[in-house]
Amino acid sequence: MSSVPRGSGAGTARVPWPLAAPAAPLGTSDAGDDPTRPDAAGNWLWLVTTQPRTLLVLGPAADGLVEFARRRFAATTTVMPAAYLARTIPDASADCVIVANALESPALDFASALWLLRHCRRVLRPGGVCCAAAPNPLWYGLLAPRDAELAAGRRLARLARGVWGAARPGVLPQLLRRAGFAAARRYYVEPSLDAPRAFVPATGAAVRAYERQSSRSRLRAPLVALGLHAALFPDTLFLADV
Amino acid sequence: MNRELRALLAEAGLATGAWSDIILVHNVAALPPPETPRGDYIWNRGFNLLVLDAHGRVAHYCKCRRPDDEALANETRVREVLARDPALAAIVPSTRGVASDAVQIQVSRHVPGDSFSRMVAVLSTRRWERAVGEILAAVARVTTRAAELMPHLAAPAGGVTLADEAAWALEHLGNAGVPPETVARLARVLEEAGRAPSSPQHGDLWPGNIVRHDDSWWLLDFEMFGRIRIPLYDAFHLVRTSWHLRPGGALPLLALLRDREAGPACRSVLGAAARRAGLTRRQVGGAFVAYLVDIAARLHRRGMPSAYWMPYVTGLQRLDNDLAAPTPLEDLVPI
Repeated sequence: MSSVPRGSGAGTARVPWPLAAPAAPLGTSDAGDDPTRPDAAGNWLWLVTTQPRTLLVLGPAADGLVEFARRRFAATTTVMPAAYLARTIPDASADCVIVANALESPALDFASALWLLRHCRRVLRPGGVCCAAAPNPLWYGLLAPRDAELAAGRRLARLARGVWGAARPGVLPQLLRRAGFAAARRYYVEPSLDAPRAFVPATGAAVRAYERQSSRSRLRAPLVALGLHAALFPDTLFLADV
Repeated sequence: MNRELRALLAEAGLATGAWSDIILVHNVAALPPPETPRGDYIWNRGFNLLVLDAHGRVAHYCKCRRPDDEALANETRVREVLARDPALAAIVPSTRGVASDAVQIQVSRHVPGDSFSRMVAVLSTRRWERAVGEILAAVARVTTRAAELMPHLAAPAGGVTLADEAAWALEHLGNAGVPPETVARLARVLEEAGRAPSSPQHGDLWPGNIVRHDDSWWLLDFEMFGRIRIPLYDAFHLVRTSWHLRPGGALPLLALLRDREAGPACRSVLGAAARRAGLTRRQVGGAFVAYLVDIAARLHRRGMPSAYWMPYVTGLQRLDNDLAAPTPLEDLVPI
């Protein structure tokens, strides 16, 4: 049931009944209907060819993601943190590597980023996939909501990473290719990688079809027509196959 | 795309081309689920896919849910039957269901066109009345054929007892904190209404589930179809939710029916639906109470944010004011 209420609909002066809060076992929020459950973030794995049996999570702030992945995939998948990727993980031993917050720092130079991606390629089995994300600077520069949820400082940081970081969308595909991956599939993600509601292939046809399906601001139509897709979505997800 | 997903879509007759032809949308819960969800049974909605054709247009809409999702299984069963019926070919999109150990998928033909939820805010009152009347007539055709094609969905020959249909909801609301005297008043109205002729209801007939395409009203989202047998449930729900999307339309249903601007049009479409269903005035009053009790309890039970169920509870409270007055509900809808 998806009936969308607007306003309280109150039409009486009586004090509302103090109804008990309903049982809300699965991550409800006041954000709208069908709130996104935290574990939905792993559904991008349906976009890769095979369900991974061994999954590595790589990055300086990967602890939370490792914990999440262990909960989410415990039944079918071995999830490991890969903080010491080069030394401890054997060649061709993993099905999937998630690069989490490791490429986005503006301080990381291209040589270091390439070194890291080459090791990702090394530890992946044939048929494996590397998942890396990049913020879209156009979005953070143009359309990011000016509200408390995305404070100005954080927006500027994302903008900086998108413009100068090794993970910027214009550069990451080249780095992945130079690291030995096949051409990367590129998806736009909204509203965020933490709670993604949509993964849209970064092609003109897919973006136009997606936008036609959604009730969106009129501001977006000219950006779609001009092909400025990176201004419409906060993040880009790259899935690079071995 | 995942091999298992691609194989299932192929089994449903859907040849998927490039990876870029699949858009993952409405991603709200993990598949397969890492835990068994508690709460209401349609909570875990997995994700949906938009599948593009060779021209880049959305050709199919796929719902991907946990394998044991009974709501989706019910919808798929119902739609597979209804969509094959020539009389409903321009109301119910063609549908096919497939499943594996990890996921259940419903593949439907995508209906292009305008969602009623986008149209309803700009319609004049007269055009709103005509559109809602047409939609309710289309729904009546669907529910009539559904009862013929799937006899297990048909109501008993003598109709349903309204008090029985709403008993669970009254009990739920009583346990949640609705005052006992209110529960007793509502129960009395339902008892006095007795039995009423009934047909299977769509169960989620709000403007977002209705599309205008090729001069026809298409109905979507049959997950609740046939689970509710309270007569006029769909009519009350469509009137309430569609007027709600209009500027200044956020009124409890009782206030809506008595509103100077909205009232005549709302009463008119509900009167036509009541006559079509063969209801008496007392039965309409009982159905009205049963609807308000059911929808308030259902949304509360589901664990939705309070913004969803509170307006319905407020509407119920307003009705309780009137019952305490008392104002006869028999005059609500002209028959």
